[in-house]
Amino acid sequence: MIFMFIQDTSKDSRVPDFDLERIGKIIETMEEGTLPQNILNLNRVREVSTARPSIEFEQKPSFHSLDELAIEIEARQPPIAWIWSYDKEKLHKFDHAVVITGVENGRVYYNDPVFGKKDDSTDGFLTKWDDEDRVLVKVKIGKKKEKMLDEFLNGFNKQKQQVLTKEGS
Amino acid sequence: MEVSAKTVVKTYVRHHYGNLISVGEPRFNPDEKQWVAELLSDYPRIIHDDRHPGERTLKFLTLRRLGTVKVGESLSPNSIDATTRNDCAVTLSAYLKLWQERANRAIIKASSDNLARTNSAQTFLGKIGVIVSRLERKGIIFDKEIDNFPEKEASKIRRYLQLLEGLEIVEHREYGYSYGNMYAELSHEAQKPNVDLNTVILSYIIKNRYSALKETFKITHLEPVVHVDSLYYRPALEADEIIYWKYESFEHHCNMLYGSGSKISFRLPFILGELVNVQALKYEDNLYFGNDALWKQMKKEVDMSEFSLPRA
Repeated sequence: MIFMFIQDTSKDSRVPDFDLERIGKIIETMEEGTLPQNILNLNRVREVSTARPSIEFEQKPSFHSLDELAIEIEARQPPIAWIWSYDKEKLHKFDHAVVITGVENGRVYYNDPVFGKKDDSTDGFLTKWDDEDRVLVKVKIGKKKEKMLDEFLNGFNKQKQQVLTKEGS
Repeated sequence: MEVSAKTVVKTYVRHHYGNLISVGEPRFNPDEKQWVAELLSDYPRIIHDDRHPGERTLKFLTLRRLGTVKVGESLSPNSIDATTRNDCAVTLSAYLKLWQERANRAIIKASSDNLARTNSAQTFLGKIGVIVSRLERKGIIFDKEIDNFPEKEASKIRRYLQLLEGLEIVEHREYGYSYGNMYAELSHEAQKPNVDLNTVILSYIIKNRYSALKETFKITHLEPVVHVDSLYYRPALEADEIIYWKYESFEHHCNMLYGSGSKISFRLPFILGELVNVQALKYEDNLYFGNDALWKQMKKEVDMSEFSLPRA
């Protein structure tokens, strides 16, 4: 959803064209779901790290606030939140990740991979988010600094050193 | 001698992270061609009980997935790619805070009936009382009636009605707000002896919308009561039994957490009195101790022995 959003909103974008299976493999999705910290695995995939505009996923384990959602939306960087929902029959709760698209007039709008576009009162949304420890993955779009030459050289020298050590041993 | 992935990882962890961090069993990832092991901590918690002042009970909280140690197929130490010690410490500290929040939520949910009876709740959620009484008497609150209030007041009432609507306590119909599905259920509960409808509804709101009260209504007056309640119940849940504290122990823990000059420390005797009045805590022979039924309910709500972020 994030990649599609970037494609739709940025001219000349170059974003990964991953199918769900590929993404699931990268973020190590299991039957019980995905760990928030595993979303960061995407940052190490070449297609993501070379995307234009740049894309970086950020996940800090802290108790995030409603204001943070609004700030990210304002910056046109739709964040991903962990919430619970009822299944279609409204019998069982299940946890899932949704992309927040708006916070206004006492409502939170989001894209749900199961139910599509949805909205909730902020009061109700907070309860659903609370029970998932307020997990939030921020998506930084076009914020990555280009590496300076010395950073490249340091990386190159480190790799060279590792090769030499391996050959020596 | 053949070296195993487990030995390589354990040696690395011992040398790089100190005593608090340990490592799980490495598993091989065939795609990446490397062994991956999870970093975790059995974080020690010291619990004390004033019935046995000389004794200290030690309990452990397992904080999972603090990071990973990855080692290549060759098992060469050069191939190790691991979460840094600093990142691990930052995550550990963040997880401890999140675990406290999780415990607080369980404590609030379980003790909402008691919290609803406190003066703080009855006073600062007074608007709810006005709405409930009006609805009880008239069966409907007309939009026109709300419009008669000055705009600021009217918008506050509407905001509370929206909160109640989200919980299905009221329902907006053509001309105004009337009973919702949950109203009947809560009214039924209010028929029990010594219970009134307003308190039952306040309890339901505290149980299901505490964060909203704090973050969107900016009602933080219940916070000190919740903090003192948690001050006792969190260690009692960790201890896995009802513990007994003198006033001085409350004071000590309160000062440690919030500082000796804090507002909450100053108000501590008053808040403890309130918690005892509403039976969230009990007090006998100079010792405070927990309400057994509440404590059991809290235990059902939260696992105090382990923390990791949820999957979704």
